[in-house]
Amino acid sequence: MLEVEDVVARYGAIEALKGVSIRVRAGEIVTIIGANGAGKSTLLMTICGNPRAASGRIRFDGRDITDLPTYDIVRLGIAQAPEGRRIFPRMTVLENLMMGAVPTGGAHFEEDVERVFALFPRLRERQNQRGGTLSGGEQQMLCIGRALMARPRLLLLDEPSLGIAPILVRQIFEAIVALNRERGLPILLVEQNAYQALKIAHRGYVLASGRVVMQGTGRELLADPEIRAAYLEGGH
Amino acid sequence: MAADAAGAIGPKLKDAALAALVAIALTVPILGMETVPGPDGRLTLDFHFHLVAIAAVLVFAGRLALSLLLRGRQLRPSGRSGAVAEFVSRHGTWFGLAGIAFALVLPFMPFASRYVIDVATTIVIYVMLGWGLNIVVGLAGLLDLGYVAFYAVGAYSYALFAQWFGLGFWICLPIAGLLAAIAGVLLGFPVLRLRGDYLAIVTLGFGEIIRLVLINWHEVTGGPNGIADIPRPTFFGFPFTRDPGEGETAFHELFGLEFSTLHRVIFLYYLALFLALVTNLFVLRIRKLPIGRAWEALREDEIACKALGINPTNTKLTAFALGAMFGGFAGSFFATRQGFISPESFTFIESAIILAIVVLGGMGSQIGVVLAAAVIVLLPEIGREFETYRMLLFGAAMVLIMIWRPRGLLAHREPTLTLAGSTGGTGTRGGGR
Repeated sequence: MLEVEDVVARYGAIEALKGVSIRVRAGEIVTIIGANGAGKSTLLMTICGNPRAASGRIRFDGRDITDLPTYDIVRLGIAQAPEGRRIFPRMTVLENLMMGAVPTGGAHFEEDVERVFALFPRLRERQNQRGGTLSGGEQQMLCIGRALMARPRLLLLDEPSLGIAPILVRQIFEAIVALNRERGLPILLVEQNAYQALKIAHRGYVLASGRVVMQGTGRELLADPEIRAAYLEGGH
Repeated sequence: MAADAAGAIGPKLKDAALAALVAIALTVPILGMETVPGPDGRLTLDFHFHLVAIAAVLVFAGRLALSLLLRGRQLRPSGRSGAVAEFVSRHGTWFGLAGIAFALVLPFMPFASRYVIDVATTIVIYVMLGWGLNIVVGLAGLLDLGYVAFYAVGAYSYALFAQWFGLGFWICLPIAGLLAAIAGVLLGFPVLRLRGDYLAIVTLGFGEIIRLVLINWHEVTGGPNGIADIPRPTFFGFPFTRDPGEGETAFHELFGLEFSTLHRVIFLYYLALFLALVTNLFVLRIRKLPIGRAWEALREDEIACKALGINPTNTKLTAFALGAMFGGFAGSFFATRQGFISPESFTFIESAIILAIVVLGGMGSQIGVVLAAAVIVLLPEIGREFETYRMLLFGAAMVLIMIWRPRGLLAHREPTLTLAGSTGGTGTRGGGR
């Protein structure tokens, strides 16, 4: 489905990714864990073409998307819930969802909104409230809902648990699992909350200093003593 | 109580002294020095330091009185402004219709003298310019300090096409709009990556470039002398003249009226009103279309827009082009109304006034722009009796308004989208089934 091959990405002189290769197969939840500054978010951003990969290839459904502009990549079916949520604060929940529907041209808008509301009932209650007045967790739900409005074939999630009350984190992770199990939507999940992420993931990659240092199934990585020591101690 | 007042007087004296110092610094060059021609014809300086002293004492006393009178209270943003703005924009249709009805009957009111209609026409034109700039600044969030450039392009397009090819107003209008829109795209391309202050500086420069081109391109624009004898508007081919040429019918003959110069003034007023209403309808409509929502989203967060599949380049360029187009329409109208244009009419101060209207109205608010345009055009008119101090009063009024309503007169934003059959949640249980 998604193949990232030996990708290098730079911010100016700083090499944030030093040859990363990962794969997401149909129907999988794949997680990328790692410390701050390991390059996790950069990897997601590079898949979306911002920053562009300096070398290496990125393929989606066999098609080379390495040099496409971001908006074309999104239109091919890769939706992103970006880091920091980035919802539109002065627009209402519904308007935010409408913005997510840009790639579909707003066709089946009401049907898709219903599906988002079914996944996150809170958003239905808040539909006419401005995005900026939502709590952090609700904003994250809105952010994921907005990405789903594009009817993506692959969903990229960047730290959905960041700065959110634990009870809402659980709801959001349950929603992620539901999306994957019930609709077969492949998900690439970047997380610092390694324990939660590995628990729901089919497979995982560990990123350190811009390189993949370890990979395996979610269960294998959870059981690995090195990982336990580095990322999981006190992490749940 | 008394001890409190005594204890607080110290800082207040200090504050007043500070204000007096600022006043001295400002008034030494303004009031304290005067250039007068000396006996040998050269300029010499006369000093009037007693005036500076008077100003300083006045400011000191005034500032002290103000802080004693206000005690703990401060000049504060009005707490109810949000509610008023929300009320007005929720019933926007009614306020809008009432405003349009008033505008339609205005020329036939008993108080409608030529002067009143002239001022009203000016207000309507600024309303239209405000609505046009609102697309760029209010909706798309691109700070444009050179909007007058498009006004100029529109005015010169009409003047030149009318002179060279004898084209009429209604044919020139779309051409002027198109040329202004092209100018908008030309400005848009180099500034796509810029935002905020940087964008403002470049647009400011663009406005100046257009003005300098107008001054220096003698062969085409007539340079600083401008273009005179621009054809005056006709009522769909019937001129507003006392003695029409051979084979022509004048407006007053057509309707069997007594000739009056007021006819043309009233016609111009309605023409401006028509153009402004077209602008308004267009903006109201486009706000609910994908491109309009994309503008607003772009204002809020450009990175999120890209992640959602919006092409920021096209979105920005459309905002620049459409905003510029309405500036061009207004410019055409300006040229036909004045009959004479020169680069003098298109200086930076015009851009600043239009931007002030948008900001004062509350970014993105349509009715706010109308209120702000009325305030900005009427304040100096009302102040005419104060002659030299007119602009001083104008400045003071603007400062007070911005303290009272820091986010503009009407800063409430009405959602463009609700689901049918939902009451929507305002924090309670709305919206469920």
